[in-house]
Amino acid sequence: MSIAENTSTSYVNLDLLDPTLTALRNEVRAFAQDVVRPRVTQNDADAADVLDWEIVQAGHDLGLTRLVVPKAFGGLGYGIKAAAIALEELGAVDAGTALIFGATLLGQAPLLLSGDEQLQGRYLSRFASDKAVLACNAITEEQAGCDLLIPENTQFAESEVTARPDGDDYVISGRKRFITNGAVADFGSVYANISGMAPDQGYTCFVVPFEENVEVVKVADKMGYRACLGTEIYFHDVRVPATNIIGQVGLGVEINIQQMNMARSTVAALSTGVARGAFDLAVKFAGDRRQGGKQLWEHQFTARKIAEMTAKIESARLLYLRGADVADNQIPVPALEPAVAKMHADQISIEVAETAMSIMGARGYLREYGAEKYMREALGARIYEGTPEVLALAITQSVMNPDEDFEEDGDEW
Amino acid sequence: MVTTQLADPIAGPIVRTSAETFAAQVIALHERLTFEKLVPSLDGVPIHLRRRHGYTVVAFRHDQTPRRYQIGIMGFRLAQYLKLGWASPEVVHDQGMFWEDVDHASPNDLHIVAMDDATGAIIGYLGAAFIADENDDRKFTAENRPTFPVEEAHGIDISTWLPSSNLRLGDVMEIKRFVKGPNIPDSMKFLVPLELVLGLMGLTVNRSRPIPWAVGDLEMHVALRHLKAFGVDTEVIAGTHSLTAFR
Repeated sequence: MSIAENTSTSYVNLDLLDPTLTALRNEVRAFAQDVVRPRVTQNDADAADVLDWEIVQAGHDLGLTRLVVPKAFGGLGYGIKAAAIALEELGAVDAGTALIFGATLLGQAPLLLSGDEQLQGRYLSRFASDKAVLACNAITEEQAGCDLLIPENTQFAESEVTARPDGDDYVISGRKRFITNGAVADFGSVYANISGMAPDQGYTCFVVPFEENVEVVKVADKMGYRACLGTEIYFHDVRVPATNIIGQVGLGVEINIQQMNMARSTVAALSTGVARGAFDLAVKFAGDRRQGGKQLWEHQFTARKIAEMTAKIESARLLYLRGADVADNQIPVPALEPAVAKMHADQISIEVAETAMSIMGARGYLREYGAEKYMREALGARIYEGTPEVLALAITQSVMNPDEDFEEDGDEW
Repeated sequence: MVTTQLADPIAGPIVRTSAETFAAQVIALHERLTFEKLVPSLDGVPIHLRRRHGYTVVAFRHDQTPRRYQIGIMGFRLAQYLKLGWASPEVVHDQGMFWEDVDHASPNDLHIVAMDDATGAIIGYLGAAFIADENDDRKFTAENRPTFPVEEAHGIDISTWLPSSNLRLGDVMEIKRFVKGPNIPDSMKFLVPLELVLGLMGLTVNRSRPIPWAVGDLEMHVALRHLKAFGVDTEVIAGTHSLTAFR
């Protein structure tokens, strides 16, 4: 016996993106540096319910709201990897601005998963307009957070948002919390439980136009991500046609899992960007600052810190590219790689931001130097799209039961 | 067939078929879309551009247009035809159409679009289709020549009507979809159709070879009236109700 000659032409090139993605990265980087950066301080200082529509419009003009919208509907036709690369660039400058566009992608994801061209045409085509449009994804409720993100916990979810069948329509009622873009979205992918059904049976994803009877109750006053609006919204008997259901009644858990597995690499990329932004400040400071007769970076303790920060950021980037790659190329999207990418990136972004502050000393603690903002924002991503605890369960489940990454119940998907 | 009942305080319940509901959704979608950045997004210089009185009239080739705007324009056309009852909701529903087929249009087809400068909404549209480009030397007498959509729709051969056998294929264009949008301000309702026709006339003479003849399936009391008001010689082709040739 002998090993057969390698005839594979596939390989993973971890150094280079393809030219299209490199061009996209450069365009978004220029936008982040030239358009977003000058407004970061003001947007961070503004009241919680203020949205910088000029930034949103400029990002829309660039194409950030239609990155993953199919070309057939006027979008740019990119995949998750492109969205992740874009969010790293935005996150390196302002995580809140990045999440405005990231949350829109999240709201679009169930439509992409649906394969329903009529539903896609009605909602995804809205992003072809010149006037900026945002979307949101509404899962979290007052008493139902992680229970809606862990499939086996769904049966215990104390979900209060319900959808009551009424003829060919459903009437949605109840309150959602912490919904990014909720106050400014054109429509949302809203998860609700069908009245009278158990949560793990009736959990369903609806596309809901945010027009009549959708009340913005409050915008959360957050410590970071202040450019985007985390919103409490109330649905007052909002009537939507049954044709606005993603997939079918009771498919909400599966849609939610796939949506998260698609999105986690993009959040990992955003965290990588936050780490990179903090790192860039620290490196500049370590190059400018002289102590003990030499530049700060030449002191061994500082040199070690910079080296470790570099390794953390590089590893986070490789992991999110890997997670995005499987998201773009596997159906269903597996849980493992995106969850690993997010858990790692969320963790290292906190470590890198803290280290950056320590390198900058007193300046790291002052608002005017910017490092403390990265610290505030690094702490944010470990909450949404899966806490470290939720991610750990998903990762360990995949490790211990690698063949059951996606639970099949025999029904058509 | 799925039906939907909508409460109407005056007429009582309105029963909509799923096709009618879909058509209403298509119309609603296109009423939301705006295109204020269309002109700077064109590939190259527009064939005609005039801005005044708060609106812009621009003419350009289909292949000058980014796909996103092609979708918007072809969707506007479809939405207006649905509103006018000239497109079948059943066909649109069954084919899942949100716009006329973007890829079916010839690269040489021309769009003349009027937009409200304040909102970016399309407020008027006139299309011109060609079966050959202006450098094509083939004559209308050529065998197996391409045909205009209106010839197919009415089952006629336009070459039997044209006065000269020397006309080249690029010397005739088909006028299509002369429609106004739902958001047109009152102050623009009378000017915009004339501006669109003016844009059409401008592009017929701003070519290396003028376009002496046009053909189109026009409503007698709407589009045709506008053309006559502009002094265009028109003639309804015998054997048709609405197929009109003009020069």
